[in-house]
Amino acid sequence: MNPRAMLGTVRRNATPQVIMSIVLIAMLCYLVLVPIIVMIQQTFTVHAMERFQIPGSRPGDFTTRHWERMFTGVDAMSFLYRPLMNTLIVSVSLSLLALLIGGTLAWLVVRTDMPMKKFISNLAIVPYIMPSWALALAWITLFKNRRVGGSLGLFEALTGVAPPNWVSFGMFPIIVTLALHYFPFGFMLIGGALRNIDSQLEESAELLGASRWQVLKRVVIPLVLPVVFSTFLLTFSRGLGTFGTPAFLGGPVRFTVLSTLLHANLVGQRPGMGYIVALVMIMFGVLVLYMDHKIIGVRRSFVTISGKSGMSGLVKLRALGRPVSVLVTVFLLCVTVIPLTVLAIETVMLIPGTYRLSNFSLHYWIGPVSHTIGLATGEPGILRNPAVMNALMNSVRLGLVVAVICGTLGMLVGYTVVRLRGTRFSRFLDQLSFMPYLMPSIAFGAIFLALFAVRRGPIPSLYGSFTLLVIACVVKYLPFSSRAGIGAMIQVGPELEEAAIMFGARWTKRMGRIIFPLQKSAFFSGLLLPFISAMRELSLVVLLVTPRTQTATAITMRFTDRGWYPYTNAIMLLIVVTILVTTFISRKLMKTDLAKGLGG
Amino acid sequence: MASIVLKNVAKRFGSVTAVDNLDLEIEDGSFTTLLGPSGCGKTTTLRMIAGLETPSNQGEIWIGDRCVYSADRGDYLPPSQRKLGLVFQSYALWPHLTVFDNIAFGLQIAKFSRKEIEKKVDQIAAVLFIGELLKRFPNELSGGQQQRVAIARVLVMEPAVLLLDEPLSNLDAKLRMDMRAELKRLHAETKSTIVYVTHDQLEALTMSTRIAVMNLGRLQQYEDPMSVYHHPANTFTADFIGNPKINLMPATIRPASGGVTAEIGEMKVTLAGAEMPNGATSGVSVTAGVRAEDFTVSATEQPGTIRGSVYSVLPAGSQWYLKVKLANGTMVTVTVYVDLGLDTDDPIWIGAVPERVKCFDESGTLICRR
Repeated sequence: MNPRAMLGTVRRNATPQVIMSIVLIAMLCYLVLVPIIVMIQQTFTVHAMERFQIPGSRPGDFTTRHWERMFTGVDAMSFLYRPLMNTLIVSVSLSLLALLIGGTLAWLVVRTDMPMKKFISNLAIVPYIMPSWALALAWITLFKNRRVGGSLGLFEALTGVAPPNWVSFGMFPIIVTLALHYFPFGFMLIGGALRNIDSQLEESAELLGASRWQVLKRVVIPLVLPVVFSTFLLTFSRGLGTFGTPAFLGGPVRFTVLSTLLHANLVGQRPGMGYIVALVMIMFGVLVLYMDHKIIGVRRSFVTISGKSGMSGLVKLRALGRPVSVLVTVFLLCVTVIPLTVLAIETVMLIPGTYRLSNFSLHYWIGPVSHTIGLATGEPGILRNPAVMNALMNSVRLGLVVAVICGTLGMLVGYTVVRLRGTRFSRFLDQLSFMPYLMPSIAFGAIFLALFAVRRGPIPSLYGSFTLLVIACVVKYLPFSSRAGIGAMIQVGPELEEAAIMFGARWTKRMGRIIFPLQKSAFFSGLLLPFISAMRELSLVVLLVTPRTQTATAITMRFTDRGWYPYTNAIMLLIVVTILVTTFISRKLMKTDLAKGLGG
Repeated sequence: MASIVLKNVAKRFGSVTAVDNLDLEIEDGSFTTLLGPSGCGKTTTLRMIAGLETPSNQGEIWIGDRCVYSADRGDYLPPSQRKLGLVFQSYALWPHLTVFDNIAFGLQIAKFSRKEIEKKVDQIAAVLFIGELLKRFPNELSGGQQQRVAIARVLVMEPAVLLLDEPLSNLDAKLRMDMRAELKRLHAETKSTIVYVTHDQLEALTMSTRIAVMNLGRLQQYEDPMSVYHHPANTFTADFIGNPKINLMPATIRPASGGVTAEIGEMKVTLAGAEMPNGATSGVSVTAGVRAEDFTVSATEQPGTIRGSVYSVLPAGSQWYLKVKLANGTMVTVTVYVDLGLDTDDPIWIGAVPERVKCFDESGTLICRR
């Protein structure tokens, strides 16, 4: 072939989707793969604070000491193995519990004639919208006891019975509160799968003489099983990477998991050991990804095909219907409205632990700086506290910026993946953009800390900048919007675009006139989830914030560490209110659907 | 108006060869149908002409006197500059645009003035009887209306070539008949070159001026419909075209005075003017093909016929299909146009119209063509 022909080939192949896939892949590689190499390198390096512990060494020298201390040293048990065991027990148990709750709710809503379904399905998503540690704070307020918690909990104040230590703090409440936060995953994903089963599959089984129970056992459950596994893996890796809840509920009794261990090591200037913890967590993340891909990826597809015929008949609960729906509603109120009420009560009690009307005060909301009133913190009330207001503004800004970038990138990824379907580019980009989904959040934060702590080539050190928070959140939440983008793009057949190509419409014109207008609602749905996630994110940003870039979530750490719960709770309420209002408005205005982006 | 020439064009997707070294000349002003079963490469060929696919680095494609693709010279003309219109099987109407905006899209891209656009859209809408529908959205239209809009959308650009990719397959049977007539009329009126892709042999026979039969990425036969029907180039074409299917039976041909004698069991037919392959002087075994309507039937024994028994009778209004089991065990389908009052297991004698019997050699290629 002559050079001109070569050029022709290149020009023909350099379609927008190919160029875009190369750009996106390069970007994601830099943001996901490079940091892992940096982290590994850091674990073999002597750091400034450690040069006295390792005689004769200078910062930057090669050392294997971190690995030895963590894995084989005399303190390896408490350095690594015990937190690791704790983490695994907590993550597995909370995932199973969350699956049980979410799966049952999904079945009740989708497959039975239970009354008040709509109300219940709306309520069941609320725990996921709240920050994961809202429940932990509510738990502390309710069940803390004087031995560990310092002051009286609401439960003890009302009943006079002091909860035992294992109820107040440690593993048990961590599992329960996290399961109550993550069960909406199971509810939405399993519910979606149940809804998508083609009724003809069940009808044909029934025609062959299968009983209802046999249909459930032989047809429905096997069809839903891949989604159940997938949900389990998702919840497991979320539990692994969550920081707030174990920090608040585990901290007071020195119950350590990998995420709090990682935080302690990095905050305590021991990056070598911290990054080893991060690598261990990433290893679990990769393992989860691998299992999700190998075991489930292949089989997941057959649940989503169909959609032609409706669903088969609902299971009749008869007399049980009303009691069940009341029970479910009460349960959901217990994990949503009641915790928020408890948090609210705590913020208006001047002296913590004294639950009397005479103790009512708005001091922690609007009070002046004081060293004598209430907790005598020297902090002004939340609503007139410049640091807190600044942090809240940061959070909103972060949420908006991240949402817009994620939504746009997600659509581009969706476009690229779907248009290049069947090629290696498409598969690689699909997997790469999905990777952050199952990565433990705090380990992901550590990655970005490693990557941007110092200047690397043309890329400046971004530590302490708002941009860093944006980048971290964008990459972490991209899976939400790229899933939504891919799902939406599949609906837009290539002919719609080809028909425009035939008229000579340029790529920008096709995007502007055809693709985007068709994707509008999916685009806005893709915005909501990243916004909510960024608003309530703690695990991911806790390692990356500085006083200047403080977010509302991270600033609560400052108050919780000192036991100033009224402040923490007040901020939490502000975050929840912001999120709920945003969700409500976007639902009304743009008909967004939260569940759309979750179809992992 | 333009002719289309494909020279040694191929398209491979990974290890799958969709189109294999294809040479095809589509005449200016013809209605040419690419016909074949699914996966035969017909749609890929159409998309290569349109420019939506590029051939796998070989061959050339010409539209009129312009080379739109050449592997050797590295030429490639993007679809929009090829001056052709493509109607998709799914119509690909943009659901968020009104009928007017769908049709006006190409004109807007080409930067026509608002006035001209309105005039042109109104004109073409009148031709296709969709003037009333311009303010509606595609999902508010019936299948036939959507089809007209899709055609209007490309015709408004006055393309030199009109490409149609199975445009009728989403319509119901009655509408399909109507649209066939309309498309044929459209062809007569616009005198544009039409390339039409379908897997429906009847559609191909009724509408085309020429049919290109394709299978497994290769061109099987390229002739006018009657030649394709009566002189199928090979057993694939013979089998693919015609309903009911052609009867293929083992036979022997021998030289005879003035032609060749074909023996299908006891059935003997003289093929006047035919020649033995390679000048053979003794019997050669072949596959004989006889269409159902080319059999002759009688209730009594006649010279040159084979005995059979009626396996079942399938009346179809204007004709009757008979399944007949021949004495040698072969099952054949026979069409008759009068009610013979036959019953299951009745004996009958089957002969064939001599000039309609086709013979294929071992490789399945037509021989003894007269």
